[in-house]
Amino acid sequence: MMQPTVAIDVEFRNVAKSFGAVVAVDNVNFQIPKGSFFTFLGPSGCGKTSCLRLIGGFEQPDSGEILIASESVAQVPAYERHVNMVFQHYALFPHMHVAGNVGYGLRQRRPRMSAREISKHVADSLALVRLSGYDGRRSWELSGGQQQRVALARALVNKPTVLLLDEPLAALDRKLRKDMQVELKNLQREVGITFVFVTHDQEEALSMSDRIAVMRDGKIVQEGSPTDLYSQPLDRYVAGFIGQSNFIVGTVVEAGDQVTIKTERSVLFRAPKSKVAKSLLAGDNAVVAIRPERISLGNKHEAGVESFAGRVAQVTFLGDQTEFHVETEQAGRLLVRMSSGHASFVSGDPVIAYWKREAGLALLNE
Amino acid sequence: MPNKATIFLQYYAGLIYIFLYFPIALVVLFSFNSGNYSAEIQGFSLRWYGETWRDPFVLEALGNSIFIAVTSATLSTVIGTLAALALQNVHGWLRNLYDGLIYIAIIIPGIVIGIATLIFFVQFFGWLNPMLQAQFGPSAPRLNLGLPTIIAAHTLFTMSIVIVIVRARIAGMDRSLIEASNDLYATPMNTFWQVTLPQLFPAIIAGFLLALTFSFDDFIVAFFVAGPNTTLPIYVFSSIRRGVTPKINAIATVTLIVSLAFLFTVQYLLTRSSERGPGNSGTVSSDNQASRV
Ligand SMILES: Nc1ncnc2c1ncn2[C@@H]1O[C@H](COP(=O)(O)OP(=O)(O)O)[C@@H](O)[C@H]1O
Ligand SMILES: [Mg+2]
Repeated sequence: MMQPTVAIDVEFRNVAKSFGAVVAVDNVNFQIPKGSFFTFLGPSGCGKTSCLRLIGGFEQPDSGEILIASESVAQVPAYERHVNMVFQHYALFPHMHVAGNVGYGLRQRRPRMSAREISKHVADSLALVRLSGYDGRRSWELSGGQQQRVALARALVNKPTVLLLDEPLAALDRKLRKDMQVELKNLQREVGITFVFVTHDQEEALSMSDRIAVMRDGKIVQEGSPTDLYSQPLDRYVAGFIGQSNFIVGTVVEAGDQVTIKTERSVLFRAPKSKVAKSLLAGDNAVVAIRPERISLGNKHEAGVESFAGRVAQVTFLGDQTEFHVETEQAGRLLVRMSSGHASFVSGDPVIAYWKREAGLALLNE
Repeated sequence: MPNKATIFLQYYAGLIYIFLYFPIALVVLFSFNSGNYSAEIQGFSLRWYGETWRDPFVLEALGNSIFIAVTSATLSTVIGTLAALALQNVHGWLRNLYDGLIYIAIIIPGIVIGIATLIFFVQFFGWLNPMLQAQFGPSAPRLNLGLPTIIAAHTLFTMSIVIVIVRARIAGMDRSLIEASNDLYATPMNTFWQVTLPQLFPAIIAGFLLALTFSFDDFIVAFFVAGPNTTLPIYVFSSIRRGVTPKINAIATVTLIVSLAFLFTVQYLLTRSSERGPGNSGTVSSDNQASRV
């Protein structure tokens, strides 16, 4: 028997939720460990927001069970759940100034909290998000980033068990978003509250999360740490969604830990089977995923690597790195990313694209 | 260079405006006439305003009108707001039906409402009064047409205006504000007092002012159900039969100014609240907007 080593703050057991004919959440199971930064990642419409709203109590599941701090919340209305949400568009109360917004949750407490105590907590919370002195401002007088931090302060001041964040950075411009990613992560470490974060931006998910649940069509496709998902994607969808990948399709000729694959052009090559993916049998359609940074370009075939001959079709200089699109006869178009110092090929050059066998990952092509 | 047709249209538009506003301008102009007759200007004076203010009949009618307007507007605001909130929970064809009925109630001519309410009151009192007599003997109160019936009739036709205005505001309201309040531990009741009502407040005030104006200006409906009482429009109507005096002009001018003041306030409330309203709380203001503050 496995004993849980950490407490679980949120758990879904076979939770399903439909809106009319649309299945927004399809029989989902997960556990969010206490104090972790957990992210739902997936394209728009895959059910991320619905999961958050189920936790917050704004939607009721059609079936299944939701537990917060190990207690079923089936009978608990939103206003009694010790969970707070940062809404996608912040939902600050326009008829209240900043301090009124931040103190809102504390003012609902019974027995009442004294006004002195409330204003002290509000000041602390505003200091936490570096907005001291903004107490008297109205929400429409604030920039997007500031509104977002007010929304954060308004939620955090209640010291919730779980903080829910629905794409809180999506409305910010790129530079501000980067800063806020770091800030949010630091804030989470500082307050030690479980963060449940929703984003469609895989970069954001990778850089902030302790664990990521990749969603598709209302289901969790794969859940794991950012490194797990990056190095051991379960299928082509995850491999394509988390970071970039080249995909070479073919048929399994020989199964095993090392899979031999015949490409559509009848070239044989080998790649290790994914450790987490479904097993591959001879005759299965397979796809081999290779990250662009794991491929190198050279002038001759070398021993002990997989290599394909081709021609440079396009060169994109990215500063420290350079991207090459290589058109190969046998494996189609490959994206290759190399340190700028190491590559001096220009468009039209004949090249050999090669990678170490273990850089590839053989997956079932569904 | 404008061609002939454009020039013609410009003059035409000008004529229309003159046609619309010239009579009103005349009323205002003649209210400042110092002479005894409306027909000729004899000099500028506030004499008629003073005389009007001292006329006990005018004051009584004005008092009635204000009392009726404030009471019926208050009633229709409370009932209309509650109805608008309740209609939020009605869906499907029933909701369309209610919506349709509200608009019909607005466009029904005053004369129809006047006749309908008159018939209703007469029938109702004709049925109720004998019953009261039988119950309490000859000393029982006899219900009759009067201020309460005007108030009831006015509440009836101003209520739909309040419903429409408040409904529009509810529809434009950001649902996530309610959810945010729920999320922050406010019970549904507290959410109503702390978020929903403040969000609807400009629309409720606007509805109240419109109801006030409509009731204050109403002649037709009041004329049917007033019984022996006079309101300001009824007073104006009955004195006009003895000729248009400068007093009437003074009353009309004051009514005009007060009504316009209310309407501008309504306009201001409704546009301001939609600019800064909850519908916009979602949009993220840019950084330069913040630095401007
Ligand atoms: N209140 C609702 N009514 C009807 N359909 C909804 C509602 N909320 C979500 N959906 C549908 O459920 C699916 C998942 O939505 P959502 O959870 O918002 O996805 P995401 O946040 O990943 O973009 C979508 O197809 C969406 O249209
Ligand atoms: Mg969403």
